[in-house]
Amino acid sequence: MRDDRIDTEIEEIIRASMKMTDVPTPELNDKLKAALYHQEAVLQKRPAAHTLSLWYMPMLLNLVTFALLAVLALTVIENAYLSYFAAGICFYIALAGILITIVGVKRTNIKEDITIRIEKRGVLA
Amino acid sequence: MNAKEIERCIDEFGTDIYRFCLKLCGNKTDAEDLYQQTFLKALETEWTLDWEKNPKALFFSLAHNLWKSDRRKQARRSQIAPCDNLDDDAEIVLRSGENIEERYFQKELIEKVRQIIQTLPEKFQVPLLLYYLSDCSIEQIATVIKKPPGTVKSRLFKGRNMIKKRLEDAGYER
Repeated sequence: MRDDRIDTEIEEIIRASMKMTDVPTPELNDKLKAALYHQEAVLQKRPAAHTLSLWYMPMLLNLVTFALLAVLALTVIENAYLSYFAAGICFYIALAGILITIVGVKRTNIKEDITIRIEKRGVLA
Repeated sequence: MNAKEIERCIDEFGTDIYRFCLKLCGNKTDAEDLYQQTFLKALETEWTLDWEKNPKALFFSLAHNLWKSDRRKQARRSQIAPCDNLDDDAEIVLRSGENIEERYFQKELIEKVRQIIQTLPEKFQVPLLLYYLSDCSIEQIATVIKKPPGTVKSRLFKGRNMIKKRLEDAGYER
């Protein structure tokens, strides 16, 4: 019962602390609306295109390259210990590539940054 | 989306987006930039707005993503700057009576809570802002932060508890 009252109280305080009367100024809204129509005109003049994010490509190439190298090491090197050692290094590098990509996706903007724009010929947006 | 439709969005819920941006950025200049970027970015999307449902969650989501992206590009700030442009007159004094001392302490308490919210980790701050500032439902918040509704409820609960705990640590009694 007491906890319910405290919860209600804290909710009221949070709500009160969030109260704001700030509103965007009419000038800001007018400027924004003008920018919107300008941007729309620019976009319409631009050739139609679709974007393709290639964030996974370095990871994939790294994975394929080192997987092939691992297979090569296992088949070509006759000494079993040496071949396992070489394959292990390849496996480690491939795994590191995946981990670095995951960190990159979580903490940076690689999805947006590694994006290419493919324009459709003769078609306007 | 086309400019005409976005113009309608600005008129319908531009103020909500603006206040959300203001709370996220903590200063007016950055908030105005984010506010404009949000609507300009919407122009490049291919959304079809359903006016029967409340479409503002999409714009909150866009503002949140742009803010996160911008924050990553900048050097990481140790803490978000306090919001210095809030209108003091707008504060609602809880259970306001004639007692000036009580009113003063309520005002101080509200200011303290405001500061605590500004310094909460983003994953608790954003759901709290959307829930208490923008009156978004749990489902809408889930759409904005791209997490299941259960996670949203849990973050709201933990956020409230963190505020409670920090208030107690600061010497505010129950």
